Amino acid sequence: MNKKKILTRKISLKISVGLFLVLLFFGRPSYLLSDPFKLPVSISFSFGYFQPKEKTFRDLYGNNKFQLNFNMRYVLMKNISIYSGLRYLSCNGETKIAGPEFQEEKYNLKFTMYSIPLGFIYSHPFKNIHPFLGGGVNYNIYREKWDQIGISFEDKNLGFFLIAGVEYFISKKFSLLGRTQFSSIPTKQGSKLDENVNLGGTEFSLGLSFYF
Amino acid sequence: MRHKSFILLKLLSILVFLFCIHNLFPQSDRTKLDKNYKQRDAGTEIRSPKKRSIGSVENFHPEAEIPSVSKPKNPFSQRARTELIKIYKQRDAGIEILHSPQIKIVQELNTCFIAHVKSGFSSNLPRAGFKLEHLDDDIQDKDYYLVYCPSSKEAETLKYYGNAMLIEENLALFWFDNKEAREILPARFQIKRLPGEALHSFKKRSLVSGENLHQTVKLPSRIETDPVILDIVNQVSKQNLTDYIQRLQDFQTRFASTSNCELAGDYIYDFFIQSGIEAEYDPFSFASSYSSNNIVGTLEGQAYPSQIVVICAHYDSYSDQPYTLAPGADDNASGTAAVMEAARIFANQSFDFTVKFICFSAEEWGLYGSEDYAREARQRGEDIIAVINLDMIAYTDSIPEDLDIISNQASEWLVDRFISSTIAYTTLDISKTVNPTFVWSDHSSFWDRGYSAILGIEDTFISNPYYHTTNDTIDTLNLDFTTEVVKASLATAADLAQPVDTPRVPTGFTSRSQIMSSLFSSIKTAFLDWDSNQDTVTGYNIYRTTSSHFGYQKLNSSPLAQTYYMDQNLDPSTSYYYVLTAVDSLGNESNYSKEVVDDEGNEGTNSIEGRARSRNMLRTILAIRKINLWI
Repeated sequence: MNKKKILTRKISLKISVGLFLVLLFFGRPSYLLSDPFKLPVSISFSFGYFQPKEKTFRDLYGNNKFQLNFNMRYVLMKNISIYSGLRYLSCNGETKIAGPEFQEEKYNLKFTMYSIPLGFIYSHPFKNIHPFLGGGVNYNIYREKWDQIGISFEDKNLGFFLIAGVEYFISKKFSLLGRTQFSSIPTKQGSKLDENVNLGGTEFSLGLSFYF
Repeated sequence: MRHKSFILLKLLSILVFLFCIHNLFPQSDRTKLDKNYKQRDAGTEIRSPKKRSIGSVENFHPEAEIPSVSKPKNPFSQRARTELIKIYKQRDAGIEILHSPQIKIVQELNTCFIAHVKSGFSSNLPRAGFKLEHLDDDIQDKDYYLVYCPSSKEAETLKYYGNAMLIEENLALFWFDNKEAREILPARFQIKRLPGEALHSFKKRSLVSGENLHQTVKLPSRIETDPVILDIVNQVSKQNLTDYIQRLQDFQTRFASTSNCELAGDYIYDFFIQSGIEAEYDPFSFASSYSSNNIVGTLEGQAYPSQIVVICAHYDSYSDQPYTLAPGADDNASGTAAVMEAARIFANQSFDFTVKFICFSAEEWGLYGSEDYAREARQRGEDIIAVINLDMIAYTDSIPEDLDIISNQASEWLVDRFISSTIAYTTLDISKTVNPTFVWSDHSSFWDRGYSAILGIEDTFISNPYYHTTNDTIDTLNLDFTTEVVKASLATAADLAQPVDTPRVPTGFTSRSQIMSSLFSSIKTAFLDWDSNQDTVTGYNIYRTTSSHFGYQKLNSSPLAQTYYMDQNLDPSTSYYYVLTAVDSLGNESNYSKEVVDDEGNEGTNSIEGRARSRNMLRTILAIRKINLWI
């Protein structure tokens, strides 16, 4: 990549971040003025379980894996927000034998994935309860490592997600959050167990949101 | 008047017609030639039909006119007419004249030589004390054959098929323009094409019939029984021999020029490879239009690799229906089976001298395969110290049957070695015949090139009633006799090649592999195990390659004490090939074991013993890992 392109990208990134910060701290869309309870920006922390979509994934790493989410929302218009954040998934597993088995032979595995979602959320408030649903794309960075013999595989991939949940406002700035998310992260890689692995699945998490 | 003219015209037409007929069929008796060839159309695929210059075999008909075949010119016959003569062996004749460039001795027989001589020069021979006989005035573009005739009546029969003359008792010279004798003569005739090249070792020969003409060959001799050779002999398996003969018979026909013959060659080649013998195809062409392969297996000698002991047999067959059915169980699946068994057993042993296991093709056409091999071996300067040729070693017309060993004078020492080995290691009776006229098998090609060679055969004069018939099948054979013959042959070959006192090649070598996978990575692990050697072996070395039979790399840094090995972290999409050697306390290493591919044993290996071995293997490896971690 030439220097000019890199420079252009850096400038674009700076402008985007700057715009985001301006909107975050100084902007307040006019439609919110009529709703004093509604603040334009929220961040949320949630944790829960992730159930992989692929059987191969479940065979190797088990059914329900613990995950952490950090999310941000910015209200763009009346019921629609832009949604982003970071998801962290880490799990341990064991290799499986593909084909004939002659003896027990297992290696410990560690799988780690970071996902950055970007999408839109539609929410419809009913008093203190704000159900929402949305979707978008996610950018995923994942790594799988064999503990004993040092085999490691890393890659990045795009996927998409659908999200639904509900927020219960316990105050003007805080809400309890419950949500479920379905994601699909197809990869072009695989192994003797499965030629094309999809890293998506369904997750259930609970958390807390803070509006400001 | 007009009527007379018409009659004259009619007579003239008849004359022209008769003239044409005469030209088309110059020899009226051609119509009576062997009718068997008419069945070729229904036979197996014919090899190399494009090369055939007298029309494809499918279109071949014995009565058809034969265009001249372009052949490589014999330089000897380029400038002047060359005659074919017979020179009687005589004690007091002036041998120097036979070394004249005007004479080329091409065949030695019991009482005479056959020679090419430039026209006019032959008159000098009687002056030098030789008695001679003219056989043909001009050899240009002719192929001559020596044909075995068990009776004078048969010799007379030969004349029915072409030009023939008796030149020794039971031996006739035959030729028929440019045609192959095998395509003309009935199946019962044994033939050898008369070589075009001069005899290699003629100069040193005395001209006295029957005189003992030992070559000086310095070979270590072992009179006492050698336990290594005894072990080799004890490994000869009658069941294996039966299986090989049956398998070769199952090709239906192995007549050289058919695709089935080539398939049989492939089978032998694969067998050599699977036995751990380095093998190669040795292609040659014959009869102006066909091609075939000798199959050559080589076990390189450790001390004197350039000196070679050959154990050989022809694998092609013949019958009165050669293109469709020529089972050839006795002639010569039996000899081929002996060579295969030799390869299997010798592969587990090291020798000082190189041993070659050769299965020749086109013997039945006139020894073409062996002639090609022996000529090229001489041109390459191969130092072949002995050739043991086995041809028809399974039919017994009487019990107990003895094995006839045939040699020329120069190879008589080899017969004696064969006899002493036979006495030491087997119960077989041997009958010795020294007769250079017996040229009907592949040993003769080696005689012509000056090598020592012997033939092992059930009977010098064929007693098998199924010889060259479609009934030459395994059920007519005595495989106990064959087993003893093979034991004697292997004992002799081993005695000649001198076994090296190294550990025996490990046996029972097997490999299984399993693939461990994660989401994005897979690795293969090969589990190798083998039988423990009971002798003085102190360890084992494992070698691996990704190209079968080539480029082995040792995996272990020091000999392994255990009888298993786990090769991990392999690419699952690659096949890995392994061989194993045994090492004794002095560091001597055995030959390679047979090669195994990593997943060779994957089917049917869920035995308790196999699983137990695997568990032991893993336990040991994990223990070693723990120790390493601790350190």
